[in-house]
Amino acid sequence: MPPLELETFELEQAAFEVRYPTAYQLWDRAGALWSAVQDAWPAIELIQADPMKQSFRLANVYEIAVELKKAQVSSFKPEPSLKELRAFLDTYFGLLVKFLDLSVLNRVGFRLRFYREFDKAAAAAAVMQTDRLRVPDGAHFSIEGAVTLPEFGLRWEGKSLGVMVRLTAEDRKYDFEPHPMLKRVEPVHFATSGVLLDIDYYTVGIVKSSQLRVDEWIKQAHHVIKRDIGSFLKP
Amino acid sequence: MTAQVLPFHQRTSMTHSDETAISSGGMTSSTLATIVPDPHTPSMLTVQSITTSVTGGSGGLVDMADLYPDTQISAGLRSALAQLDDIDGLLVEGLGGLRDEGIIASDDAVQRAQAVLRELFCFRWLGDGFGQVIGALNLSLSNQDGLPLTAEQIGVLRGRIRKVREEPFLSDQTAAQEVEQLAEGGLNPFATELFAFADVGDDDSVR
Repeated sequence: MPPLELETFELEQAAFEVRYPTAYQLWDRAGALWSAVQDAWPAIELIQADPMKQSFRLANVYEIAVELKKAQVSSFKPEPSLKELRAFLDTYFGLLVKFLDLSVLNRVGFRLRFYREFDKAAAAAAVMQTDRLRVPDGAHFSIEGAVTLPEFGLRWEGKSLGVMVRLTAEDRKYDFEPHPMLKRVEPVHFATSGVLLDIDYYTVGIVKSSQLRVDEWIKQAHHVIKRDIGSFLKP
Repeated sequence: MTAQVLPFHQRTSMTHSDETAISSGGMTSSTLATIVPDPHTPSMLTVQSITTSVTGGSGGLVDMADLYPDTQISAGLRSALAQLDDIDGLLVEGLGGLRDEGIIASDDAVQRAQAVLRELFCFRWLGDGFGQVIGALNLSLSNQDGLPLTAEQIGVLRGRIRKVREEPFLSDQTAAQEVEQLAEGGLNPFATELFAFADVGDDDSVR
């Protein structure tokens, strides 16, 4: 079984989230906020808009959502350096702070999800080789079973920052049946197995928005994750 | 279209309130693909996650050094914060000088603080607000025209230094309030050339 190393995984999703005290300004300024976002990125497409939550998609890469108490951006298939994402978030966060009048953030989180395909048995074995939980031989809980989709996770927290690391064996099944009118489009059916490495880096205390330079903070978080995650994966 | 839609992240317990939310990626029945759990996989045998908390969070304001812990990545930011600490230390020395050694010792410490403050001007890239306050602090000292600072004036300077040390990415609006505090504290944080220029406009005479 090859060792689990970050370099062997593919970064499939990155997410950034800020939580704040209830921002009632959203009810007054949502239009102004999204107009400013549209000025910056004209290609944004509306997904959902109601008083409690508005969400948009941009170029099939980003999903942006704002709620009364939190705002979130997800990036799908981000480039490994995260340079574009950082630049995007830096500008977007500036607009968010300005239009929602955010002075204090209760939590800032940055989450990366890495995936690596394995065959079904190897995925479970790869997670189990980290040896974080003992699996005794024989029947247990009156079950003649086997470990199929193991998941290990831990939260590592200090006084200001914390990280949640989770390693999960996953089966994924993709099913797409085109509409009968779409005669040239073929159905898609396939399944994969693999290991998901999910890392959530976040602040524990209060952060003033004037303390946060998103570009800089994510650059640091990304660097720290790449530097230290190996220590959690070694058997 | 596939009838069953279940984003993969919902298969596991990944929607805790204490986690950064992730999007399902718009995996709906109208998109190109959906991810559904393998019906042949008995999820009952999934090993549950282990959650540990080492120290627990303070819940207080996060310090800048904790927020940006890697000195190699944020070398510029760390240098700026270190210089602000140096300036604050020198201003404390200036206050001590006034109390114990006399005005010359105090003024000497303030002059050394001013020298560091000039270097801080190189960190204007941290933000307009930062540059605005640092510029105003520089002008406040320059506009003294050699007059030593009083203890109250040093106290006002320290307050602004601590503010930008704690919140280097402060907004223009907050920075303007900080500059105003300098003026209210008996300092002149404005460019005197600008006033001279403005006076020309007020003069009705033709030159």
